[in-house]
Amino acid sequence: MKIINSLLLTALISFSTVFSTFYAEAFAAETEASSVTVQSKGSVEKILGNGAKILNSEVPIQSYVSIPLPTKRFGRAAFASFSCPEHLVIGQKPQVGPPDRWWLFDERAEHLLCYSITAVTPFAQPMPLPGTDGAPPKATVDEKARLLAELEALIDGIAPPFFNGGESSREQRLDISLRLSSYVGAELLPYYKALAPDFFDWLDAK
Amino acid sequence: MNDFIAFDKILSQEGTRFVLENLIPVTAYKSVPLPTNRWSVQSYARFAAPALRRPGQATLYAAPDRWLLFDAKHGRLVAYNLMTVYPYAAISSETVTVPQQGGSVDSTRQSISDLGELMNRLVVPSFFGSSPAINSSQKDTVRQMLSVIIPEPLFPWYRALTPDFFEWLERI
Repeated sequence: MKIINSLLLTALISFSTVFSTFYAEAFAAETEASSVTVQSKGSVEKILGNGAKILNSEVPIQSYVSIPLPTKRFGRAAFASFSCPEHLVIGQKPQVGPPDRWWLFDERAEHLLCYSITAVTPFAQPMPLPGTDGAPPKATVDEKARLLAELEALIDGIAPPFFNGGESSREQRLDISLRLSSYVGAELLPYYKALAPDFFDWLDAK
Repeated sequence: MNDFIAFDKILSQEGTRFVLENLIPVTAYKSVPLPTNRWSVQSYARFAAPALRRPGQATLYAAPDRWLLFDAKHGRLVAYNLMTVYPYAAISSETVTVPQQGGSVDSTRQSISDLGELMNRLVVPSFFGSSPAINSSQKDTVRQMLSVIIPEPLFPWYRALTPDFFEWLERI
Protein backbone atom coordinates (compact mmCIF):
# COMPACT_ATOMS: atom_id res chain seq x y z
CA MET A 1 0.00 0.00 0.00
CA LYS A 2 1.30 3.35 -0.98
CA ILE A 3 0.78 6.16 1.43
CA ILE A 4 2.05 9.61 2.09
CA ASN A 5 4.17 8.31 4.90
CA SER A 6 6.32 6.29 2.57
CA LEU A 7 7.55 9.56 1.12
CA LEU A 8 8.72 10.68 4.51
CA LEU A 9 9.93 7.25 5.46
CA THR A 10 12.10 7.05 2.37
CA ALA A 11 13.54 10.44 3.10
CA LEU A 12 14.35 9.38 6.61
CA ILE A 13 16.00 6.07 5.75
CA SER A 14 19.44 7.63 5.47
CA PHE A 15 19.28 9.08 8.91
CA SER A 16 20.02 5.84 10.78
CA THR A 17 19.34 5.14 14.39
CA VAL A 18 21.27 8.12 15.69
CA PHE A 19 18.18 10.13 14.94
CA SER A 20 15.78 7.70 16.52
CA THR A 21 16.47 9.36 19.82
CA PHE A 22 15.74 12.70 18.26
CA TYR A 23 12.43 11.49 16.91
CA ALA A 24 11.53 9.85 20.18
CA GLU A 25 12.22 13.09 21.99
CA ALA A 26 10.31 15.08 19.42
CA PHE A 27 7.41 12.67 19.70
CA ALA A 28 7.45 12.94 23.47
CA ALA A 29 7.62 16.71 23.30
CA GLU A 30 4.78 16.90 20.82
CA THR A 31 2.57 14.57 22.75
CA GLU A 32 3.27 16.21 26.05
CA ALA A 33 0.18 17.88 27.38
CA SER A 34 0.43 21.62 27.31
CA SER A 35 1.54 22.00 30.88
CA VAL A 36 0.88 25.36 32.37
CA THR A 37 3.90 26.51 34.26
CA VAL A 38 3.46 30.18 34.44
CA GLN A 39 6.64 32.10 33.93
CA SER A 40 5.56 35.34 32.44
CA LYS A 41 8.55 37.43 31.45
CA GLY A 42 8.36 40.39 29.16
CA SER A 43 5.45 38.61 27.55
CA VAL A 44 3.70 41.49 25.87
CA GLU A 45 6.81 42.62 24.06
CA LYS A 46 7.65 39.03 23.11
CA ILE A 47 4.19 38.46 21.74
CA LEU A 48 4.31 41.63 19.73
CA GLY A 49 7.62 40.38 18.32
CA ASN A 50 6.66 36.74 17.81
CA GLY A 51 3.22 37.72 16.66
CA ALA A 52 4.66 40.03 14.07
CA LYS A 53 6.94 37.29 12.78
CA ILE A 54 4.30 34.61 12.58
CA LEU A 55 1.24 36.63 11.74
CA ASN A 56 2.75 39.06 9.27
CA SER A 57 1.58 36.96 6.38
CA GLU A 58 -1.94 36.59 7.77
CA VAL A 59 -2.90 39.92 9.31
CA PRO A 60 -3.43 42.61 6.69
CA ILE A 61 -1.05 45.54 6.92
CA GLN A 62 -3.90 48.00 7.31
CA SER A 63 -5.05 46.58 10.60
CA TYR A 64 -5.35 47.80 14.12
CA VAL A 65 -3.57 45.16 16.25
CA SER A 66 -4.57 45.01 19.89
CA ILE A 67 -2.34 44.90 22.92
CA PRO A 68 -2.07 41.26 24.07
CA LEU A 69 -3.97 40.76 27.30
CA PRO A 70 -3.72 37.85 29.73
CA THR A 71 -6.72 35.56 29.98
CA LYS A 72 -7.65 32.13 31.32
CA ARG A 73 -10.98 31.90 29.59
CA PHE A 74 -9.77 29.31 27.08
CA GLY A 75 -8.84 26.77 29.72
CA ARG A 76 -5.25 27.79 30.21
CA ALA A 77 -3.08 30.80 30.84
CA ALA A 78 -2.65 32.70 27.60
CA PHE A 79 -2.31 36.09 26.00
CA ALA A 80 -5.08 37.08 23.61
CA SER A 81 -5.01 39.61 20.78
CA PHE A 82 -7.35 40.69 18.03
CA SER A 83 -7.05 42.81 14.95
CA CYS A 84 -9.49 45.02 13.11
CA PRO A 85 -9.46 46.38 9.60
CA GLU A 86 -8.30 49.96 9.74
CA HIS A 87 -8.70 52.76 7.25
CA LEU A 88 -6.21 55.54 7.62
CA VAL A 89 -6.65 58.92 6.00
CA ILE A 90 -4.13 61.62 6.71
CA GLY A 91 -5.58 64.30 8.91
CA GLN A 92 -8.61 62.25 9.87
CA LYS A 93 -9.42 59.95 12.72
CA PRO A 94 -8.65 56.33 11.76
CA GLN A 95 -11.72 54.31 10.88
CA VAL A 96 -11.63 50.94 12.61
CA GLY A 97 -14.02 48.12 11.82
CA PRO A 98 -15.02 45.32 14.21
CA PRO A 99 -12.41 42.63 14.89
CA ASP A 100 -11.94 40.27 11.95
CA ARG A 101 -9.42 37.88 13.53
CA TRP A 102 -7.95 36.96 16.86
CA TRP A 103 -5.24 34.75 18.28
CA LEU A 104 -3.78 33.34 21.46
CA PHE A 105 -0.22 32.88 22.57
CA ASP A 106 0.80 30.70 25.47
CA GLU A 107 1.69 32.34 28.76
CA ARG A 108 5.38 32.24 27.88
CA ALA A 109 4.67 34.19 24.72
CA GLU A 110 6.39 31.55 22.64
CA HIS A 111 3.75 29.41 20.95
CA LEU A 112 0.69 30.31 18.97
CA LEU A 113 -2.21 28.32 20.40
CA CYS A 114 -5.01 29.53 18.24
CA TYR A 115 -5.60 31.86 15.32
CA SER A 116 -8.95 32.39 13.69
CA ILE A 117 -10.89 34.81 11.63
CA THR A 118 -13.93 35.86 13.61
CA ALA A 119 -16.25 34.67 10.83
CA VAL A 120 -15.13 31.11 11.59
CA THR A 121 -14.68 31.28 15.35
CA PRO A 122 -15.93 34.48 16.95
CA PHE A 123 -14.43 35.30 20.32
CA ALA A 124 -17.71 36.86 21.40
CA GLN A 125 -21.27 36.26 20.32
CA PRO A 126 -22.62 38.71 19.53
CA MET A 127 -19.60 40.87 18.93
CA PRO A 128 -20.09 44.01 21.04
CA LEU A 129 -20.72 47.30 19.36
CA PRO A 130 -17.88 49.81 19.44
CA GLY A 131 -17.90 52.11 22.42
CA THR A 132 -19.39 55.55 22.29
CA ASP A 133 -17.06 57.71 20.39
CA GLY A 134 -15.51 59.84 23.05
CA ALA A 135 -12.49 61.98 22.41
CA PRO A 136 -9.76 59.69 21.08
CA PRO A 137 -6.63 59.52 23.19
CA LYS A 138 -4.48 62.39 22.02
CA ALA A 139 -0.75 61.94 22.10
CA THR A 140 2.27 62.28 19.90
CA VAL A 141 3.89 59.17 18.47
CA ASP A 142 6.64 59.38 21.08
CA GLU A 143 4.12 59.79 23.88
CA LYS A 144 2.10 56.83 22.60
CA ALA A 145 5.23 54.71 22.43
CA ARG A 146 6.14 55.65 26.00
CA LEU A 147 2.62 54.97 27.25
CA LEU A 148 2.58 51.62 25.47
CA ALA A 149 5.95 50.64 26.94
CA GLU A 150 4.71 51.54 30.41
CA LEU A 151 1.52 49.60 29.87
CA GLU A 152 3.41 46.56 28.58
CA ALA A 153 5.61 46.58 31.66
CA LEU A 154 2.60 46.85 33.94
CA ILE A 155 0.76 44.00 32.20
CA ASP A 156 3.89 41.86 32.33
CA GLY A 157 4.08 42.53 36.03
CA ILE A 158 0.45 41.80 36.73
CA ALA A 159 0.13 38.71 34.51
CA PRO A 160 1.79 36.21 36.90
CA PRO A 161 -0.51 37.03 39.86
CA PHE A 162 -3.48 37.00 37.49
CA PHE A 163 -2.52 33.58 36.12
CA ASN A 164 -1.47 32.09 39.43
CA GLY A 165 -3.94 33.71 41.74
CA GLY A 166 -1.13 35.55 43.47
CA GLU A 167 -1.40 38.75 45.42
CA SER A 168 -1.75 42.15 43.86
CA SER A 169 -2.95 45.38 45.33
CA ARG A 170 -6.27 46.90 44.47
CA GLU A 171 -4.51 50.18 43.67
CA GLN A 172 -2.15 48.49 41.23
CA ARG A 173 -4.99 46.72 39.41
CA LEU A 174 -7.07 49.88 39.25
CA ASP A 175 -4.11 51.83 37.93
CA ILE A 176 -3.65 49.32 35.10
CA SER A 177 -7.35 49.28 34.34
CA LEU A 178 -7.42 53.06 34.03
CA ARG A 179 -4.26 53.26 31.95
CA LEU A 180 -5.46 50.49 29.68
CA SER A 181 -8.85 52.10 29.14
CA SER A 182 -7.24 55.44 28.49
CA TYR A 183 -4.66 54.07 26.05
CA VAL A 184 -7.09 51.88 24.13
CA GLY A 185 -9.86 54.44 23.96
CA ALA A 186 -13.60 54.14 24.49
CA GLU A 187 -14.32 52.99 20.95
CA LEU A 188 -12.22 49.83 21.09
CA LEU A 189 -12.48 49.00 24.77
CA PRO A 190 -15.61 46.79 24.34
CA TYR A 191 -13.63 44.48 22.04
CA TYR A 192 -10.85 44.12 24.58
CA LYS A 193 -13.37 43.39 27.32
CA ALA A 194 -15.11 40.82 25.14
CA LEU A 195 -11.84 39.02 24.41
CA ALA A 196 -10.42 38.94 27.93
CA PRO A 197 -13.42 39.50 30.22
CA ASP A 198 -11.84 37.59 33.08
CA PHE A 199 -8.83 39.89 33.10
CA PHE A 200 -10.96 43.01 33.27
CA ASP A 201 -13.16 41.46 35.98
CA TRP A 202 -10.04 40.69 37.95
CA LEU A 203 -8.60 44.17 37.45
CA ASP A 204 -11.82 45.80 38.58
CA ALA A 205 -12.56 43.42 41.46
CA LYS A 206 -12.65 44.96 44.93
CA MET B 1 -10.83 25.45 -14.18
CA ASN B 2 -13.02 26.23 -11.19
CA ASP B 3 -13.47 28.84 -8.48
CA PHE B 4 -11.44 27.00 -5.89
CA ILE B 5 -7.77 26.91 -5.09
CA ALA B 6 -5.94 23.93 -6.51
CA PHE B 7 -5.66 20.95 -4.20
CA ASP B 8 -1.90 20.72 -4.63
CA LYS B 9 -1.49 24.33 -3.50
CA ILE B 10 -3.28 23.56 -0.27
CA LEU B 11 -1.25 20.39 0.08
CA SER B 12 2.02 22.25 -0.40
CA GLN B 13 0.83 25.04 1.90
CA GLU B 14 1.68 27.54 -0.77
CA GLY B 15 1.12 31.05 0.51
CA THR B 16 1.05 30.04 4.15
CA ARG B 17 4.29 28.13 4.24
CA PHE B 18 6.05 30.60 6.51
CA VAL B 19 3.33 30.46 9.10
CA LEU B 20 2.96 26.72 9.05
CA GLU B 21 6.66 25.99 9.13
CA ASN B 22 6.76 27.92 12.35
CA LEU B 23 3.74 26.21 13.83
CA ILE B 24 3.81 22.55 12.93
CA PRO B 25 6.68 20.33 14.04
CA VAL B 26 8.55 19.00 11.04
CA THR B 27 8.09 15.39 12.17
CA ALA B 28 4.32 15.66 12.45
CA TYR B 29 1.92 13.82 10.19
CA LYS B 30 -0.03 16.38 8.18
CA SER B 31 -3.38 15.14 6.99
CA VAL B 32 -4.63 15.23 3.44
CA PRO B 33 -6.69 18.43 3.07
CA LEU B 34 -10.39 17.70 2.67
CA PRO B 35 -13.19 20.11 1.83
CA THR B 36 -15.79 21.03 4.40
CA ASN B 37 -18.69 23.35 5.02
CA ARG B 38 -18.63 22.60 8.70
CA TRP B 39 -17.53 26.08 9.59
CA SER B 40 -19.01 29.20 8.10
CA VAL B 41 -16.65 29.43 5.14
CA GLN B 42 -16.04 26.95 2.35
CA SER B 43 -12.72 25.55 3.40
CA TYR B 44 -10.15 22.81 3.34
CA ALA B 45 -9.45 21.26 6.74
CA ARG B 46 -6.28 19.53 7.87
CA PHE B 47 -5.01 18.18 11.14
CA ALA B 48 -1.50 17.45 12.33
CA ALA B 49 -0.55 14.59 14.61
CA PRO B 50 2.75 13.79 16.28
CA ALA B 51 4.32 10.87 14.45
CA LEU B 52 7.25 8.62 15.19
CA ARG B 53 8.76 7.08 12.09
CA ARG B 54 11.55 4.55 12.37
CA PRO B 55 13.15 2.86 9.41
CA GLY B 56 11.87 -0.67 9.00
CA GLN B 57 9.31 -0.40 11.78
CA ALA B 58 5.67 0.52 12.19
CA THR B 59 4.84 4.22 12.39
CA LEU B 60 3.29 5.50 15.61
CA TYR B 61 0.78 8.31 15.54
CA ALA B 62 -0.40 10.20 18.58
CA ALA B 63 -3.84 11.79 18.42
CA PRO B 64 -4.06 15.03 16.44
CA ASP B 65 -2.74 17.94 18.45
CA ARG B 66 -3.76 20.77 16.12
CA TRP B 67 -5.96 21.48 13.15
CA LEU B 68 -6.18 24.09 10.44
CA LEU B 69 -8.67 25.54 8.02
CA PHE B 70 -7.88 27.16 4.70
CA ASP B 71 -10.27 29.26 2.69
CA ALA B 72 -11.18 27.03 -0.27
CA LYS B 73 -11.16 29.90 -2.75
CA HIS B 74 -7.88 31.60 -1.96
CA GLY B 75 -6.05 29.21 0.32
CA ARG B 76 -5.69 31.70 3.15
CA LEU B 77 -5.33 30.33 6.63
CA VAL B 78 -8.60 31.06 8.41
CA ALA B 79 -8.11 29.01 11.56
CA TYR B 80 -5.31 27.29 13.42
CA ASN B 81 -6.13 25.66 16.73
CA LEU B 82 -4.38 23.47 19.22
CA MET B 83 -6.66 20.63 20.27
CA THR B 84 -6.03 21.54 23.90
CA VAL B 85 -7.56 24.96 23.28
CA TYR B 86 -10.24 24.26 20.69
CA PRO B 87 -10.71 20.58 19.77
CA TYR B 88 -12.50 19.77 16.52
CA ALA B 89 -14.00 16.66 18.15
CA ALA B 90 -13.57 14.43 21.14
CA ILE B 91 -10.67 12.27 20.00
CA SER B 92 -9.26 9.32 21.90
CA SER B 93 -5.74 9.96 23.10
CA GLU B 94 -4.63 6.44 22.22
CA THR B 95 -1.59 6.07 20.01
CA VAL B 96 -2.28 4.48 16.64
CA THR B 97 0.15 2.07 15.06
CA VAL B 98 0.37 1.75 11.30
CA PRO B 99 2.41 -1.18 9.98
CA GLN B 100 5.24 -0.43 7.63
CA GLN B 101 3.88 0.30 4.19
CA GLY B 102 5.28 -0.82 0.89
CA GLY B 103 5.29 1.17 -2.30
CA SER B 104 7.66 3.57 -3.89
CA VAL B 105 7.93 7.30 -3.53
CA ASP B 106 7.01 7.70 -7.18
CA SER B 107 3.83 5.67 -6.86
CA THR B 108 2.80 7.64 -3.78
CA ARG B 109 3.40 10.89 -5.60
CA GLN B 110 1.34 9.60 -8.48
CA SER B 111 -1.54 8.63 -6.17
CA ILE B 112 -1.55 12.09 -4.61
CA SER B 113 -1.37 13.72 -8.00
CA ASP B 114 -4.29 11.59 -9.26
CA LEU B 115 -6.35 12.46 -6.21
CA GLY B 116 -5.54 16.16 -6.64
CA GLU B 117 -6.62 16.09 -10.25
CA LEU B 118 -9.92 14.47 -9.32
CA MET B 119 -10.48 16.84 -6.40
CA ASN B 120 -9.87 19.90 -8.58
CA ARG B 121 -11.92 18.74 -11.54
CA LEU B 122 -14.88 17.07 -9.88
CA VAL B 123 -14.99 16.61 -6.16
CA VAL B 124 -14.45 20.06 -4.68
CA PRO B 125 -16.70 22.01 -7.11
CA SER B 126 -19.39 19.39 -6.71
CA PHE B 127 -19.12 19.24 -2.93
CA PHE B 128 -19.38 23.01 -2.64
CA GLY B 129 -22.32 23.03 -5.04
CA SER B 130 -20.78 25.04 -7.84
CA SER B 131 -20.96 22.18 -10.33
CA PRO B 132 -23.34 19.24 -10.79
CA ALA B 133 -23.27 16.39 -8.31
CA ILE B 134 -20.90 13.58 -9.14
CA ASN B 135 -22.29 10.07 -9.53
CA SER B 136 -21.82 7.14 -7.18
CA SER B 137 -19.22 5.54 -9.40
CA GLN B 138 -17.10 8.68 -9.25
CA LYS B 139 -17.56 8.81 -5.50
CA ASP B 140 -16.38 5.20 -5.30
CA THR B 141 -13.23 6.20 -7.15
CA VAL B 142 -12.59 9.02 -4.70
CA ARG B 143 -13.07 6.70 -1.73
CA GLN B 144 -10.64 4.21 -3.22
CA MET B 145 -8.07 6.90 -3.86
CA LEU B 146 -8.36 8.20 -0.32
CA SER B 147 -7.95 4.68 1.06
CA VAL B 148 -4.71 4.34 -0.87
CA ILE B 149 -3.28 7.57 0.49
CA ILE B 150 -4.66 7.59 4.03
CA PRO B 151 -3.66 4.80 6.42
CA GLU B 152 -6.85 3.02 7.43
CA PRO B 153 -6.35 3.47 11.22
CA LEU B 154 -6.28 7.25 10.74
CA PHE B 155 -9.67 7.49 9.05
CA PRO B 156 -11.60 8.18 12.28
CA TRP B 157 -9.57 11.35 12.76
CA TYR B 158 -10.42 12.45 9.23
CA ARG B 159 -14.10 11.64 9.63
CA ALA B 160 -14.27 13.59 12.87
CA LEU B 161 -12.76 16.66 11.20
CA THR B 162 -14.86 16.75 8.04
CA PRO B 163 -17.97 14.67 8.78
CA ASP B 164 -19.97 16.54 6.16
CA PHE B 165 -17.52 15.56 3.42
CA PHE B 166 -17.64 11.87 4.30
CA GLU B 167 -21.43 11.94 4.57
CA TRP B 168 -21.56 13.51 1.13
CA LEU B 169 -19.07 11.01 -0.24
CA GLU B 170 -21.04 8.06 1.09
CA ARG B 171 -24.43 9.40 0.01
CA ILE B 172 -25.68 7.47 -3.03
